[in-house]
Amino acid sequence: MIVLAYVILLPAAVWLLGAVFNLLDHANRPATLARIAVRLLPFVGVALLFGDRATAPIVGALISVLTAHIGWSFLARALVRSGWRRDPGEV
Amino acid sequence: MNPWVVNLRDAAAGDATLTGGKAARLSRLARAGMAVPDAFVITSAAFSAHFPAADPDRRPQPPALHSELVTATRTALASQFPDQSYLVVRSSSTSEDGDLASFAGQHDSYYYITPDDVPRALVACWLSLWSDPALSYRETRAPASGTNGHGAFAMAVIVQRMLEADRSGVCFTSDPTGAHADHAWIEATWGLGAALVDGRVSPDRLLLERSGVLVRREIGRKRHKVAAALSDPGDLRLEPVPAFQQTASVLSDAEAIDVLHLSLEAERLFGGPQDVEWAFQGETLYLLQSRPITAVGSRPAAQPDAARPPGRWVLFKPLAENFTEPLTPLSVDLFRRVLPPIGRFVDGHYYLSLDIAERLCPLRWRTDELVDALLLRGEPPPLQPNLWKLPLAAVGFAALYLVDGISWHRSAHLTRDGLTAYAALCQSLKRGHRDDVPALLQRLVLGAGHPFEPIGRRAYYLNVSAGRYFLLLGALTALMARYAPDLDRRVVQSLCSGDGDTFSRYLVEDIRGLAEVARSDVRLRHALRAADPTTLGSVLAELAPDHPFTLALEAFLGRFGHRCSKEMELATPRWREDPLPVLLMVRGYLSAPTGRAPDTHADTLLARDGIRQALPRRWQQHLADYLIRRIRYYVSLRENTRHYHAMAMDVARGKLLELEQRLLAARRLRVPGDLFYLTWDEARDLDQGRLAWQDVSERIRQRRRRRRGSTRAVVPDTLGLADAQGATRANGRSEATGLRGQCASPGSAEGRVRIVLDPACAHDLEPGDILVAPYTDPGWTPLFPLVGAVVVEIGSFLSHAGTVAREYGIPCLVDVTGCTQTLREGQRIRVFASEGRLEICAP
Repeated sequence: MIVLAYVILLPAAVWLLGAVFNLLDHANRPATLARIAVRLLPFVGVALLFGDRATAPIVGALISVLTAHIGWSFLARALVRSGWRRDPGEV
Repeated sequence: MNPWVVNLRDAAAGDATLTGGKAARLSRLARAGMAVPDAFVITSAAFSAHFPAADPDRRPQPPALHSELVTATRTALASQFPDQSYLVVRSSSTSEDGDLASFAGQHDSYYYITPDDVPRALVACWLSLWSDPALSYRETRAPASGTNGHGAFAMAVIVQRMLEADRSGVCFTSDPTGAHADHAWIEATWGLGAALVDGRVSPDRLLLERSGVLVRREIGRKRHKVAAALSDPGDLRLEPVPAFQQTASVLSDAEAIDVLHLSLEAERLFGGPQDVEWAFQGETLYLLQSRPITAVGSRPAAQPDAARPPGRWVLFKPLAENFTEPLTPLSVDLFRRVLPPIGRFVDGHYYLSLDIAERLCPLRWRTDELVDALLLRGEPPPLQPNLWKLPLAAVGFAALYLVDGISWHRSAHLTRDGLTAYAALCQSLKRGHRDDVPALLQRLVLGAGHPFEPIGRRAYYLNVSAGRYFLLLGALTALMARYAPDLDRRVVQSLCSGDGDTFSRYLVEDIRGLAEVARSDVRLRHALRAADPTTLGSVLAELAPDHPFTLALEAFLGRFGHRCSKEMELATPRWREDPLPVLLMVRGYLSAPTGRAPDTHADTLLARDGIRQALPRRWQQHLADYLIRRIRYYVSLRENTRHYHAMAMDVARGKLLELEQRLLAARRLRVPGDLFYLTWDEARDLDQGRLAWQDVSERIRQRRRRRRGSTRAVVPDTLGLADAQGATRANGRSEATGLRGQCASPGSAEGRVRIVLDPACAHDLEPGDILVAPYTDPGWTPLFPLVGAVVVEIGSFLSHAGTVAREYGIPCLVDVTGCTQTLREGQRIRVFASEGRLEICAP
């Protein structure tokens, strides 16, 4: 069940962190806070269902998504910059 | 005369095996009484004597000239050109100018040759038989002629009087594109024709009926010319054209008809359509060359099949519909460093790999259906999942969502100010000392540095992610089809303009404002209206620095000076550098009715109410409202990101111009604009002294020629596909009196066809005209409010033309293949955009 909660919380973490990151952007601040509140609901639900045992899937999902996001943003840039699959005949 | 040297007017010179294709044809023309400059020919026998065992695949050492040949040449020079200071030494290969392979431009010719230099130029011409381009051409084209280029491997050389031509060009006696039967094309430029053949200028293009009626005149921007008078014998001879001449017509109507008649005479003599090179020296018209057109009726393919990359490729429509011309080599080299590896450039156009797309597509679509979908043509086929690929696709999608979904959600709720961070980043990079352009572009395109910076610094990401409005539109359409099947689908489409808060709208308002300022000053208004494109700049120069129009123009350029037509092309001058297109648009608005742009907001509200009333349930109405809001948000976001893309291009161009100035000052480059025909590595090597001008000049010339060829060629939608697999729903001509296309903005209109190939030249549009264009990009936006409808050769519902047309509530038909070729200037047509067709009412 804990693993299932973790899997369900992964997309919820993406959804939530999208709104949290919006705090760094030029977005409407009150609307962003309202969105964050709504997007916290799945985490609140898991916490209510599992009590203390919910800590692991909640923290795990958030850290997994954050790590994957940051890792990907650097990896994708590095891949394109490396010039792989670039053919000199294109020019 | 010696058998190695014959006069061009001698009968012997007409033997192509002796004097080569070019000389033989010139000899026939001269003997037929046409005005051909005096010349003599050093025959192929001389070549054979100097290269007795010539191997077509191995370049030999330069030979020492036989004394008999030197003597015979001197005698001919003394007798034919006793007072001539400059001559042209032209190659005339025995396999040249055949019916199947012209070898045009593959062998060398030398201009401004003094009599003493003729032997050196002669040897250089001979050796050009082994140049890389000639070898490549023989491999790819000559097999078709049955000779493989080797069966007649020899070269004669023409030594000809050099004209001091002030105007020159080419004439195709039959339209090589095949779009206009019984028509001829003339291309004309200032000075010698070498600038035109090398692709260094955009010439004037005139379409004439073969009977002598001028149908259309397209004025090109002729920024450079090859001067007739030589100021520096060691230089390139290319000099800037005075501003007043750049957009002036090279030929009068009568002169154009003279060129046509001369070319038709050559056609009659040779019995087939000809590609004729001509030149005016003073008032005298000369014929310089005539060769058969090798591809009448079918526009040449951009590249021979043998030179195409392996695999199957589909044109990337979102880029192609903003820019139909091939990108310059430097733009290609820089963009391929930031684009994902699922595509590649071919002849300056970006193609997606169909092999990769087919592997990734989790739907049961046939190849032709997938091709149609990638080309954004018509309705996509039914979404039947491929059960084998679906799990893999689901895993891939889930993984992508987990790693990049945060950015996806961040882009869903931005204010318009959200992108000002990008503008600030561009400004700081522009002012900075860093001049590594690939690194700058990677920073601006791929992201600023780390994921914690504002998403607004990723304008390209926002542009791509805003494309999701197409999915939302599909959802809205499906909702309406399910619960309100009787509602007209056009109502849904009319909701898909932006929410009005777009830069393209502000751009138009600002141009309208400039026109209002000009209108309020009677003298300025008359001066702008009376001036032709060549003198508009001087009207501006005469204004006081604190004149309201000058101040308003400065403010406009401060806001939109980084914009222009063909923004993706780094070689294109921005409006800040050359405000002439802005002045021409202001002049166009002076003739338009005053007042603000039509407000489509009321139409939008009506359409929204219509949808609400058609849906029976409250949840359905709420869902439709939500989808409409989101669609309008993403349409605006997508349109606004283009404004910021242009800033990134402006930053890159600024750095490239600084580099070009350095290279020109150090004489490592000789001609402005040549930088864009190098790769970035070559440009950097030139800057750091690892390469010299001599190392790159030939590369530049070849790339310019190749790009010129690509510009005239049809851009194929697909590469490497058998016909049966290709796209099946190509648009274009449907019947004798109409054309078909795709609806990008619903409605219908009737008006006069105005074919516009460059928005800077569209200065006499009248309200109600139908704008017919090859493509549109933000530089074209100010034309939209002036016209009654828009018809575009390439495009889709997502394209700029459709987005802006919906914004202004005018009908727009896109993907009308060949419309700029088939329709005629001034013709009356009816556009039924909603039905995806147009009707020709009257010629």
